[in-house]
Amino acid sequence: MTSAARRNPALILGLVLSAVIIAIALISLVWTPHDPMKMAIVERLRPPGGSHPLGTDQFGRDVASLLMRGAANSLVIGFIAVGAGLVAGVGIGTLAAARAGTIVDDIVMRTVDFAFAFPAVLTAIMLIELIGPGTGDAILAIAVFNVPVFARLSRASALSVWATDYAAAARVSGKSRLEITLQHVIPNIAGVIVVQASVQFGLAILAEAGLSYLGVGTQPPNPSWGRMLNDAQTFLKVQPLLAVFPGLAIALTVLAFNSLGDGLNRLVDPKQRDAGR
Amino acid sequence: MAGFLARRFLGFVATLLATAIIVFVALEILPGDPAAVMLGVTATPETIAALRTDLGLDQPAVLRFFLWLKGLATADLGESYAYRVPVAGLIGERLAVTLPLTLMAMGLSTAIGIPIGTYAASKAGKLADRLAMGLAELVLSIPNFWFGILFVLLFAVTLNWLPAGGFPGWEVGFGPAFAALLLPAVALALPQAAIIARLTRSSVLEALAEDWVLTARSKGLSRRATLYRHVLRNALVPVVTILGLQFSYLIAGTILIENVFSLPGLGRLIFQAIGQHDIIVVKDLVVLFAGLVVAVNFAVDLLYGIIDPRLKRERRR
Repeated sequence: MTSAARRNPALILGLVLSAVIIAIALISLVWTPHDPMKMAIVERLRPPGGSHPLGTDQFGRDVASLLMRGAANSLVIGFIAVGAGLVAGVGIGTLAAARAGTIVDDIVMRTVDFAFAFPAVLTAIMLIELIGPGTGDAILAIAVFNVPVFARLSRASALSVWATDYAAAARVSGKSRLEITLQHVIPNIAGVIVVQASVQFGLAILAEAGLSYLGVGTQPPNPSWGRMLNDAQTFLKVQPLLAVFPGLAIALTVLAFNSLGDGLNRLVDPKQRDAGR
Repeated sequence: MAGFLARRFLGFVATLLATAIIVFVALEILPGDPAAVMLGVTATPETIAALRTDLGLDQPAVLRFFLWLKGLATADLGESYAYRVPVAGLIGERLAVTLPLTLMAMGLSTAIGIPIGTYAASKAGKLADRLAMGLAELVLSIPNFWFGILFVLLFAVTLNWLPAGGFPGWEVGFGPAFAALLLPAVALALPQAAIIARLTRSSVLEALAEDWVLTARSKGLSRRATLYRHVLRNALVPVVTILGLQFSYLIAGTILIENVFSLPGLGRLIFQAIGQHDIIVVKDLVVLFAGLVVAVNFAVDLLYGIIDPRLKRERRR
């Protein structure tokens, strides 16, 4: 264990941190120190201490409880958005690879390039006009942002599987492209995809925080870290700590999944290639 | 070379056109009646009908699309519904904040990222390298708007050195305007600097492993001279390509950061326009933002071809 930790500290840090955060999010669904929705104006803007270990916000709600429930919201949104982006992206990428060099490949990949031109915030902005602000905007916008990432990665990785002898053998033995994709390509590229998913999950948490800071994502009274930071800005002079805790929560969560991604990457790719994202 | 340029240019124009189509469909066709959306729930059928005529919404969608395209090409972007002024003027005004902000952030991130990345690579595996890369990892985990809030807390609220937000305008002089943009620019630049530092480091390390580095060293060139004269020039090719991607992040970042610091730029404008259901402004701005991203990526693509002649003819993945 200790030698494994020395060889791959990022993996250990990522595993431990993300396990703790996931545990906190799960616990928050059944127990929080206080009801995160309960307002108590007499107790507003309390400093940390007593029955409120991290203090209270402008409505007297318990900050620790809000952060815990916020973790659950962030993780769920990130999970659905990255999951949807992954499924769509891998589908598109492996299709393009199976039809490499054809017009299908060209059209698909040009469309994917094009989707890159839309930062998640812009997609979210268009979605608000369409469906009104809400969690759906954030999930859809982050998912759309993830599709091209997974499409490009899975196409590139799938192409190298298609170039192998066993893929050629499968072709010769009469297997269809779909069968080869399902039986050979996807199992072989799964490792790379999982690594990327971990990194994308960190980015999704960042994006969700940004969107809810702007008021686009999670809507009140559901607690969200981004929204808490926005509220905290108003009370910066009175209770500056309110602007510190949610930011720390976001940073730790992103750090957890980034480290996990780095660590897994080291496992999958022994060259320890440190690709700049 | 001419064929390469022509093909890239065609692709660029096609991407811009596709962007315009998507934005038009998403904001003018899908929501149903834009006039009803703009006027909100309190509108009467008469006022909606009047606004429809006013905006030319009774014309067929295809015609409206081409009129809009023509307007975009001639910088005649119509009139903002909420502000009652030409959108082009509004954008020009706000660009005087967003453009300097983005450029400052881009300059800062390269000025911080490249030296740190190069230094870390030259000390690869040593403590300095590990500290630098650990720091980069940490910075990458911090949302830029939280940097913004922490800067306000430290430099504005606690130390009172710099303004907490707002923008005095360039007409009051360079100093105050620059000071107002400094914290937002640094907040915007830090995560990008971390990305550049990591990329530069791995790129320099890759170049250092090349055979010609050994040749240069054995000819008696010092480690330093090899690094700066040969390695860095080769290593910066991938760094340049990421600048295009970086621009896209920065543009998205300004939307957040301008809201943190209450800067009257394009990012804040687009958000106010959404609140006011000013579809004309939203439509023009989304297309402008996306168009800028596409244009910068096109420019980087060409630049890449110029910097690295090996790639000139190769087909892009």
